[in-house]
Amino acid sequence: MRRPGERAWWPYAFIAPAFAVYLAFVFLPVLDTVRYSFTQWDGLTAPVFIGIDNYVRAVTDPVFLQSLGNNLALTFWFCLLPIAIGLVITSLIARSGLPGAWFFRTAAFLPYVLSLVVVGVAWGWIYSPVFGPLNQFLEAIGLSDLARPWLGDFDTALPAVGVIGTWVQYGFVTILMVAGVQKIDEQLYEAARLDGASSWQQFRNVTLPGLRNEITVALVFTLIASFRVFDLIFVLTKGGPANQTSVLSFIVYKNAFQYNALGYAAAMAVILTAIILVISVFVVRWREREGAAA
Amino acid sequence: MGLFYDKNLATKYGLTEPPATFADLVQQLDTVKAGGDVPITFGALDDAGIQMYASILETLVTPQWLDDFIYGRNNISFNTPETIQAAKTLVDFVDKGYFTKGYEGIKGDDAAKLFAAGEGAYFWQGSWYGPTLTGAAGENFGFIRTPPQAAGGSALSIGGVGLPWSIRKTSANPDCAAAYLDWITSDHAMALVAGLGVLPGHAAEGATGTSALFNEMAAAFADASSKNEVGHYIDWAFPTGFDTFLDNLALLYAKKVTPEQFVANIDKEYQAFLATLK
Repeated sequence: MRRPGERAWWPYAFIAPAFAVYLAFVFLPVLDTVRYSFTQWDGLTAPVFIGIDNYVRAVTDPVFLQSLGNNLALTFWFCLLPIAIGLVITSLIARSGLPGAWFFRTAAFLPYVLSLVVVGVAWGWIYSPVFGPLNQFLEAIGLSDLARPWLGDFDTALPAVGVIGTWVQYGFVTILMVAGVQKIDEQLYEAARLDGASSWQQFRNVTLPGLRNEITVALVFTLIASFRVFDLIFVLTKGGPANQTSVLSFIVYKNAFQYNALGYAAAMAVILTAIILVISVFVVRWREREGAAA
Repeated sequence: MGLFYDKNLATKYGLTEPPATFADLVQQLDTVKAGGDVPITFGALDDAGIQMYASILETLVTPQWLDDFIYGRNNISFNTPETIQAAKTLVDFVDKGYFTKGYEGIKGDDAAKLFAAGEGAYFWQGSWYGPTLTGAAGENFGFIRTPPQAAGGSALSIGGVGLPWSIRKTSANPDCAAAYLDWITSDHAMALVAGLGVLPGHAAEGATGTSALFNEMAAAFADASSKNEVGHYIDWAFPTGFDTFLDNLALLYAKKVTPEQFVANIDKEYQAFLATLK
């Protein structure tokens, strides 16, 4: 017999196998990374403990700072823009009874399920100055002055990568929002209409608050995506031209596997992890407070 | 490394003789440009044309300087009149519009396809593109060494005939490893490589392959090799060399650095590396 309040042991037994895998393949490697971040290590010889030197080096390294700045700039393309687009599409298709709305939902979601490597290769073709449809289109409609080597141009390389992020993320955001809207009580809209609320006022005062949780989830996921982006950069630009599209995950990779500076790479990886962690916690907390206040 | 050339375009412009000097080459590029064709097929997206820069540089420097630079000997600087002149030459090429339009955003392999499709007179690249250019249109292309500055003078051609292999002191089977090294450098292995249309590291003298292009590549290599004019890949000089050159070449093309700043930036990284050796 179990006394009230006594916990059963067997739920832990069910969790144990998955937790053991998590410990071995996620948690311990993370600890190892933190440990190596305080060393100078070439990957072959024994690591030498050097304290916080790697961290000092990172915050004074122009390439690190530029990459961090690029990641921040990408949050506009990977996070803010997709959420804005997602909200617009949701307000257009979710409650309109538009025939074929399912088609648009599915079409919008497709980019998100594709491997980013595939996405990168395909967009690389679109942007190509040789045979890319983008420049061909601009030339066909008489705007050949606007045609440029998108990924090789200092002014357009980062936005060009960013647009791809928007294209990948907005479908995911849209699906979240559309699903969220469907569980908002229809009576709220009815009451709003009776009070003479316009479509915009309904969206502003009923839809948006009702999507609070979905927006939080979308923010966390897309913010994380904008900080961990690697595949697109690797396939498209390798950080070029002259680090214009370099991002943190890419310089971690370069330092670890090209320059054999594993200690320094580990320190930058720890910083990247910390940034993602802080942002996620901050966003979730912020929404919780907002939720409590509402 | 050297210059692939398009035989159809060479005929079109009456370029019957390979350029004897670098100035002759530039004159040919002018002729092609004036005729409305692309003088140099180029895609900078992957490697920013580092080997093109190095090819020009290595016609200007002495073997002694290049060896010192690569092996970190004698505390030399990368900031020299020659390194600046090579950078100025590239800027000059940009200004004269010698390169494929949009080259900053073109991948290296796409540039090779453009060249294979006849879109350019010269393609400044390595022999590894030989097999790509030896397809259906295989006999349309030839290969020459980058010409020297003075007629009959000497010029280095980039080549990487040595790869650093090492056998660990603690290896359990050093003889087996050594036997493998013997095998990959054997005539038989070289013949297998040549069979794929790739220029083998040695035994290239007198080697003949299945295509005219391969034979021209082999002849160019034999010429450089016999005159002891095989140069180096300059990015091998220091661990971050490849990225340092790429970043600064992109800045150079975009006119965000001058040739003087370009070599100063690279020398700064190079000196930082030399300092770690002491």
